[in-house]
Amino acid sequence: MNNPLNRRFFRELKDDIGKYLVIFIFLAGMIAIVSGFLVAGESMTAAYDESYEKYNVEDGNFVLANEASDEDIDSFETASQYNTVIYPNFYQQGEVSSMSSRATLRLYSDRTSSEAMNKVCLIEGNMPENEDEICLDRNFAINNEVTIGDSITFLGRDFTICGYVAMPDYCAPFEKPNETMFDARIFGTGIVTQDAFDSFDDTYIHYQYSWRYETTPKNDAKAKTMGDDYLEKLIPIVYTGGNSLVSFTPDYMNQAISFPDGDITKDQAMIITFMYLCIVIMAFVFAITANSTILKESRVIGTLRASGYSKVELILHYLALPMFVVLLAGIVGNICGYTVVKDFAANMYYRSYSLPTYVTLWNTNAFIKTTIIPLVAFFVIELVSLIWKFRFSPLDFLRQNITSSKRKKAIRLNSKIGIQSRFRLRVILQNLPNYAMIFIGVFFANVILVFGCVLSPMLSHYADTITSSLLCEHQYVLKNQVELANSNEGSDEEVDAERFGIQSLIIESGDWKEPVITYGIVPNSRYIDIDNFGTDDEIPIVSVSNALAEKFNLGVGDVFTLDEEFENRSYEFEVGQVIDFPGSIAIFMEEDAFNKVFDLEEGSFSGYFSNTNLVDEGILDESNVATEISRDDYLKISRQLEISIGDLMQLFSLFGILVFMLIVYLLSKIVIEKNATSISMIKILGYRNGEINKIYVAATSIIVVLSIVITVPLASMLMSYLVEALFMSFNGWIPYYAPPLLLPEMCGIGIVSYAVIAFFMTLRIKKASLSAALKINE
Amino acid sequence: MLLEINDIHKKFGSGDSEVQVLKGIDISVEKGELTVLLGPSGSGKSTLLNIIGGIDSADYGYIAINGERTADMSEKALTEYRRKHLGYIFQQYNLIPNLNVKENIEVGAYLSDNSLNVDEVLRTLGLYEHRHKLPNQLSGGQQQRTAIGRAVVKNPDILLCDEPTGALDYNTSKEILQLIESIKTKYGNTIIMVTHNSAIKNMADRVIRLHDGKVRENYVNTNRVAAADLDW
Repeated sequence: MNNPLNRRFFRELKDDIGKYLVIFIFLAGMIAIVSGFLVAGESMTAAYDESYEKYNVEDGNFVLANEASDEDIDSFETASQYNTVIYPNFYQQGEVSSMSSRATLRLYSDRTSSEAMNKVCLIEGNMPENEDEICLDRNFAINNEVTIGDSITFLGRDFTICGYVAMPDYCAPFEKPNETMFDARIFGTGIVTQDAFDSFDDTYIHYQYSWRYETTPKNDAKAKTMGDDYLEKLIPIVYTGGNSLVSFTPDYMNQAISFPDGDITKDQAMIITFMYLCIVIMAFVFAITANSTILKESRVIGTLRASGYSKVELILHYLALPMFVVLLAGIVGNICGYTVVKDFAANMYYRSYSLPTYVTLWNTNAFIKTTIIPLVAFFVIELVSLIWKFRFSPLDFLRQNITSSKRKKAIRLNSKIGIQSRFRLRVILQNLPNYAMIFIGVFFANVILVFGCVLSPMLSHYADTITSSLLCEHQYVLKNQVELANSNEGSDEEVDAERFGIQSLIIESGDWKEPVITYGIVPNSRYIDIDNFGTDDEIPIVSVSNALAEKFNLGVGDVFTLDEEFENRSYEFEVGQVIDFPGSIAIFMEEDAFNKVFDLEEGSFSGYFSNTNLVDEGILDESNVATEISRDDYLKISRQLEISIGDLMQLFSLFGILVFMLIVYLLSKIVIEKNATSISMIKILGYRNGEINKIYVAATSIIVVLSIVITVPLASMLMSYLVEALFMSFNGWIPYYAPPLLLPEMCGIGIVSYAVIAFFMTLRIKKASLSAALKINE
Repeated sequence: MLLEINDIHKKFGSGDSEVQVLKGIDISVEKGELTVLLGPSGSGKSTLLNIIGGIDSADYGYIAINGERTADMSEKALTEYRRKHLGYIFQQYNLIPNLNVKENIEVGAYLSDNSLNVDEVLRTLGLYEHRHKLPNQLSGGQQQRTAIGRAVVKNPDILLCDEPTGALDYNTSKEILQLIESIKTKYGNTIIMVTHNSAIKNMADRVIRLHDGKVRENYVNTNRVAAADLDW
C-alpha cells in the first residue's frame, strides 16, 4: 500500500501555491538565464575554437614599414626554433564616406586561396566577384546603417556591398591590438577581390604578415614563450634588411582575436558566481520555510510519530514536495534556457562580436552546474534542516516544544512604550532569524540591482567627464616629423595646433601589462596645464593622468617603472603631479625632459594637438598621419560596454527586483503564517485589520525599509570594489560612479516593490481565518 | 434581557456528509447571569458559542445583544461587536506566545475605552509575580488565568468561556472556576460557559443542556453552590 501521506502532496501544493509558485518561478528563471548563457556561450566558444582550424586562423601577425622581400620572408619562416609559415595579409586603411558616421575601414583582399590565413565566414549575401563589390563585417555594416546593395566610397572608389562577413582575426574589431576597447561603429573590416585590392596605390597600404607555427602552442604560456623567441629572432632580420617593425602581435596578445573568448568566459564566470549566490540565499530560504512548515504541523507530526511513523518516513515526506518543485523548475528552466534565453544571449554576443555561425550543443557542464548542483544543494540543506528539526521526541512535537529558544526569558521592554509598539517589537524579536535573512536577501538583491542600474549612468558619466576633459578635438600622430602647411618655423600660433612628442610604454602590475601613453608637451601649452619639473633630476618627475594614478594607486612622490614594449629598456619616473585626464592611462612631461628621457634630438616631435580638423582644412596632409586620436577613440570603451553588456544589465536589474520581491515575500509570509493563531486570536478579541497590520505587517515593513536604507549604500560600496576589480582587467580606467539620485531611486524601487508585497500581506491578514485559534480546540 | 438567541440553525458539510449541528436553539440570557451550556461531545455547544461570539454564522435564526442582531452585521461591525461586548476564554488559552503575561493582558485592555487596571487584574489573578514571563514559562493554570485576565480586562458585557477547564487538572480547574466566579461577583460580567463537566452546572445561575443540536433543558439553578464546594 502506498504511503497515504502522499495524498497530501497535491493538497499541500494547492494550499500553499503562492509559496511554491514563487520558488518555482525564481528557480526556473535563474536556471533558464544561467543555462541559456552557458549554452550560448559554450556553443559559440566551440564554434570559435573550431574556427581556428576551419578558417586557418593565424598564430600572430607583425606589420613592417615596407614590404619584405621573398628572401626575408624565407628567413622569417625559419628564424625561430619554432618554424613558421608566413602569409602576407596586407591591408588598406582609410575613411569610408556614405555611412551614418565617420568610420575607418581596414580593407583586405579576399582570402580564398588554400594557403590563406584568417579565411572569412560569409554570414549573408555573396563574396565579392567584381572589382566594384565589397563584403563588410556584419556588425560594422549594421552599426553604420548600410545594407547589402548599398554603395560606399572608400579611398575615392565606389563599391557596392555584396555581403556580410565575419573575419576570424577581427572577432572584436580592435583597430590596435592593445587598445582600451573597440567600437564596431567607427572601425571595421571589409574584403574585396585581389584585383580590386591591387588597384589601390601604396599610399594607405600596411604590410601585415600573418604567421602560423608548425606546431600550434597548447596554451598562452607556451604561446608567450614561442612569441618571445620569435620576436627576438625576427628583429635583427627585419632591421638588417633595412626594414622596421611597426608592430608584433602574437595571437594571445591580440584582443581582436582573443577578446570575445575572454569576454564570454568572464560573463560565464560572473553568471555562475551569481547563480551560486542565488542558490545559497534560496537554500537558506528553503531551510527557513521547512522550519516553518514543521512548526506549523508540529502536532500532526507528533501524532504520526506517536502512531508509529518513523523519522525517515516523515523526513522523506516533508522533503518530497520542495524537491519536486526544484526538479520541475530545473526541467522548465533548462527548456527555456535552451530556447528563449539562449537566443537572447547569442544575439547579445552577435551584436557585440563578429563571430562565426554556431550550432547549439548539448552542454553537460551547464546541466550539472544549473540543475544537478542546485538540486543537490537544496536536497542537502533541506535534508539537514529536517534531520535537525526531527531530533525532538513525539511528545515535544505534540506539545509544540520544538524550538531551542522556548525556555528563554522574555526580554523586558519598557512598559511606558504603548502595547501596540511593544507588540510590534516582540514580533520583530520573535522573528529575528527571518528578518536577518530578509536583511541578507535585500542586501544581495540590492547588489544585483546596483550592478544592473549603475553601469549605464557610470558609462554616461565617464563619457561626459572625458568630453569635458579632452586635451583637444584631434590628436594627430605623424608618420614623419612634418611642419604644418601654413605655420612658421618654431611657431604654431597662426593655426590652432601645437606639437607634441609621444611614446607608448608599458606598465606592469603583477601579471597585468598595460600601455601608457607618454607625452612630451611644449612649455606653456595651450592644451594642457602641467608643471615644469625641469630636466635635472636623476629620476624624471612627471605629471600623471588621474586614470593612471587611480588604477595603479600612484600618488605624488611615488616612483614607478615603465618599459619599452619591444626593446629591453625601462624608465623610472617620479609622480610630481596628478592631473585631471580620465580618458587615458598617460604621463606628461615638458618637451625638453621628454626628448632627454628618450634620447631624441632637441625640437623633435611626433604629433599635433588641434581643435581644428587639420586634414580636412588642408593644413596637414593625410599621408603624413599615422593615427588620429579623436573624441570617439576615448569614448570607445564606454560605448562598447554599453552595447555589449547593456542588455545583460537590464536583465540583472529585473532579476534583482525579482530576487528582492521573492525573498521578502516568502519570509514575510512565514512571519504571518507563524503567527496565524495569534492573528486569529486577536481578531476574535476584536482587533481591527488595520490594527493587526500595524503590528505584523508594520514589523516586517520596518525591517524591510531599514534593510533597504542600510543595504543600498553598502551594495553601492561593494559594487565600487567589484567594478574597480572588473576594470583592472581592461585596458583604460573607468572610475566607479553612482549618480547622487541613484541610491534614493534604488531605495524607492525597493520600497515600491515591497509595497506590492505588503499589500498582499494585508490581504492575507484580512482573510486570516478566525477558526485558526479555534482549530486547536478541536 | 441582554442576549437573545432565536431559532438558531447550523449545518456543516453538504450532501451525504451534511450534519445538522444546531436544530433551532432558543435561549435568553439576562445581564449578570452565569449560564452553563452543558452537553456531550458533538451536541453543538461550541458551535453555538462561536455563533454568539460572532466568529461563526448561523444558517437560520439570529443572535441579538441588547437588541442588536449579529446576522445583520458586516465583518467590520462584527469586529466592533466583539471588541465592545465580548471576552473570550478558550480551553487551549491561545495566548500570544511572544508577549509576556502583562502584555497579553494589555492586548485585551487596549481594546476597551473603560478597561480595568492591568496591575489590579494581575493581582486579582495572582499573576503579578509572573507578569514578565512568557506563556511557555507558565503552568497550564497560570496560562488560563492569563487568558481570563486578557478577556476580563476590557470589562466586556459577556464573557464566553469554551471549556475553560478542559485542559486542567482537578485542583487547577477548581481554582479557575473560583476565579471566574469571583470575577463575576467583582465586575458583574455576564458569563456563558461551555462545558461537558456536569458538576460545573451547580455553580451556574442558569443551566442549559444541549443534546443533538436541541435544547433539552433550560432552567434557573436555585440551588447554586460556590465554586469552591464543587466536586467531581
